[in-house]
Amino acid sequence: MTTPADQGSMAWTDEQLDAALADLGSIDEVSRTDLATLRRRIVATASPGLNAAMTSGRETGSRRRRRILAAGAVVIACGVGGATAAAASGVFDQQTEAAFASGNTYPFHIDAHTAVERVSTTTPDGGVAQYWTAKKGNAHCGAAAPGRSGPDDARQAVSPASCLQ
Amino acid sequence: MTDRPLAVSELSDVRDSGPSRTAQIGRLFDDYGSDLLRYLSRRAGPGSAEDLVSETFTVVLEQLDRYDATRGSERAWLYGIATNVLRHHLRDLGRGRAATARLADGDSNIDNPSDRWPDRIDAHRRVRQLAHALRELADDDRDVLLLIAWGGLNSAEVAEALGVPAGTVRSRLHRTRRQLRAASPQIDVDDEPDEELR
Repeated sequence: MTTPADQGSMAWTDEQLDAALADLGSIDEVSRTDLATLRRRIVATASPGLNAAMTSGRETGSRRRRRILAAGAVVIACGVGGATAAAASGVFDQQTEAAFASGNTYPFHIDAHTAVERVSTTTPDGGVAQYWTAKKGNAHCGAAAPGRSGPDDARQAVSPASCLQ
Repeated sequence: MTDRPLAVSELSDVRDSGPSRTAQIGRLFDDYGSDLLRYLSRRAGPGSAEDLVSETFTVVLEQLDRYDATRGSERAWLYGIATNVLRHHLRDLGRGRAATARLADGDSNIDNPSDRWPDRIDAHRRVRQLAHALRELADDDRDVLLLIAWGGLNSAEVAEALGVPAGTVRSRLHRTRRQLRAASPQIDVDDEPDEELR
């Protein structure tokens, strides 16, 4: 295909623009395994086991969020207090592991560039604690950290992250 | 237990029930998860897309009881949430007006043109020119264009997703396409090394 510049014209046609958009948007097909894993992860977040501690009755979104943060604080307190062994020693319950992608411990840090903050809360000493997750290869990794400015803190403060294959 | 999947609009009777919420999230994922993952992979790259989909459904879970079927389709509602999640993600990445992590490099799945076929070389140049031009768009204009081109939404659904009138979507789309058609060919990417493409 030639570009408009090659043809001496000043602008692409609609067809050329659509072709470029299609090319730029081309991606690898999502595997069924990846999709199934993602579905389990999402449904686990909505599961009654995890939400039992966070939701009851007709809660408002803000109330539910506060309860989620409160539940997260427990997780984070465990993670910050004994991060290196927390996941391996079963500190996180099964539902939390599924939701926050904890599990087997591997000796690497979460990726600061792809990490996503899952929960953040104020700690009793006035600080802020955060829980971050990131994908590492085919595993999902999570790390709790005293939060100041983002995932870099998590990377520095917690070693190693815990991951779920 | 119902014999068919529940629609979000039917949740008012069952939203207190944990298993029903779980079933509803599962049904929404089955209906839209795959397409949403593809869309967010195109916008943010496959490395971030799964987390963004997960984040989107976390918000969906929180807002299930706020969904109003009379104001738009489930699909538009989901893509509206996903668009907000994506914007937060890109903002948190600190990449400013960079359209997406992928667009920042003009990344695509086009085969590497090691064989130097003219068509493939042209395709690479075209993709890089377009990626640069997309980065210069306003966020709202880029979202309109890519929700249609990559998300497969129509103008009405984009209007519902972004909470703007359908006429605004159509005028933005027309203006944006005209801007891209004019600007992209003027961008010189020939001096950039090929390895930056991936």
